[in-house]
Amino acid sequence: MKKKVIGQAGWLWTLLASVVAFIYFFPVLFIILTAFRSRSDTLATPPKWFFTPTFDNFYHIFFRSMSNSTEYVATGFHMYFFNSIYISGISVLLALLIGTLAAYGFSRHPLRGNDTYMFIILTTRMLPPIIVIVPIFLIFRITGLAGTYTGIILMYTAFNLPFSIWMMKSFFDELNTEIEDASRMDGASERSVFFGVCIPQVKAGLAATSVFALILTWNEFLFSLLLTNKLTRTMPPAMARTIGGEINVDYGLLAAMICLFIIPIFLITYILQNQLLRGVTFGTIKK
Amino acid sequence: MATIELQNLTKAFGDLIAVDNVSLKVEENEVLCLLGPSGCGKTTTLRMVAGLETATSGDILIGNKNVNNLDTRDRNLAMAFQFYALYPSLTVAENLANPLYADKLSDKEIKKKILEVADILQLQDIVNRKPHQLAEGEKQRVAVGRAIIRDPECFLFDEPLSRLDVQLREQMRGQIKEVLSDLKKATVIVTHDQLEALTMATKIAVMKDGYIEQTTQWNKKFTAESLIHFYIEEYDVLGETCRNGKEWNQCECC
Repeated sequence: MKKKVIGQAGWLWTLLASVVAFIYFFPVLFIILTAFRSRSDTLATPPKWFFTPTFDNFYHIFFRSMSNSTEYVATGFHMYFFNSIYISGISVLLALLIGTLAAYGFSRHPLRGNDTYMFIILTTRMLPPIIVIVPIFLIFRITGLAGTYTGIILMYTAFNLPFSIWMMKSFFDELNTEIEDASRMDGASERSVFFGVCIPQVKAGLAATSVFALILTWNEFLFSLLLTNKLTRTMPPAMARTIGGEINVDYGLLAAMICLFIIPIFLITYILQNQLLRGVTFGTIKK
Repeated sequence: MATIELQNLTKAFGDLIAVDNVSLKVEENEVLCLLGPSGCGKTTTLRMVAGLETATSGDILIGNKNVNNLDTRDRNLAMAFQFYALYPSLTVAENLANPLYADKLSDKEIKKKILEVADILQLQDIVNRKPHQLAEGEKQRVAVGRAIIRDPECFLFDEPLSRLDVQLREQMRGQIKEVLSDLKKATVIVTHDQLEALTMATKIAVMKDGYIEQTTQWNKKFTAESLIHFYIEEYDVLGETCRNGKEWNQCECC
């Protein structure tokens, strides 16, 4: 007789889960396939599932032929790719650094009316961005921040801060403060209590917060569209700009861009997956 | 070797007075038990002695030196916590070694000390395990070990046995008592268990609502009122009547 493993799902459930997973994954699969299709294949109805893959689309992201010419010139897309990585990387790191310190402060040394402060911080995220975009645009133009890396990085840092403060605070709140007291008794300074005792315990939280903030920043379109220029533009508005023009929408090209666009996020999520799993389930199960 | 002395110590959290004008003295060699129901301010008192909480008013003297303005790490005390407070990512040996790093000992000396403490508390078999792999009683012993590994001025224990089952509690009680009598230092133990207080302490202070109700050497008997007051909240010690207005020895509710 076969021994049944307790807790293991039956084949029917496994099949059902696979089907649901496939439904979710299907759009991504479709995009990846489209990226490798030639122009005529992308437009075929019904979609062609078997075709000769081509790397033309990926090549055309970076090099494009000008009209009436066979000469290929660089599109500068690598720059937008770099901008996206640079801007979201720096702003997420900044938000994480400031947010973690602030969260620790809010958690361990509450102010009079701590909850009010926390609520005010949260309200900045309740406003739809479209409401604040006009004043921010004007401020950026007056201060000369428009179109600069500093400007957009500051913008994104401010954008991510409330989220990282709230999230990190909940992680710090969950920690056992006795351990911190114990390390004070053991002769640790306040700085080493924070860096040596608290930070290692919220590693999962740092990972989860940074991935969430990174995804938000990486996908951000509106602010980038209005506050960056030709040199500092990030991927989302750059991608949007390829829609239209002489050949309408080049779906193959767009799909190839999207493929490149999801790689960094995919890599980071993959690298941090263990920490992330613990991070997002943190606090949902009572110790 | 040092004494601990509290003079008119008071701690208020907003309007709530947690510790009210507490004065007491623990001599060298003496084990004081702060005994009282939950929320009576005994842990707060202990935390103030440790420097983890600042007193609203009053003085704390350790070895006749006022330590009011000293940081926790400069007071040279050792404390065992109620929930053990072991560093989750470190092994038992590393947990034990942690208090020693501040003293800048060599690796060899640290190792020697760890083995010594492991020997006293029978931790030899588990020094390489992490806290989550330990049973409650073992965690408890590691927490005590971490407190006694250094050579501090005084020892503080915050409800050291409250999380153990009855059998283990009995066993640990004897063990801690033994360790304490070897150390011969001023020690404060916080507990809500009168049996624990009576077996481990040389002096017991009964606390209630933030003030000290009675301090007694353990061999002198508690007055009946004080103990009854402690056992049964209903009883009004000062008036010697219970809430129902009867004499305490005639009362049915007590």
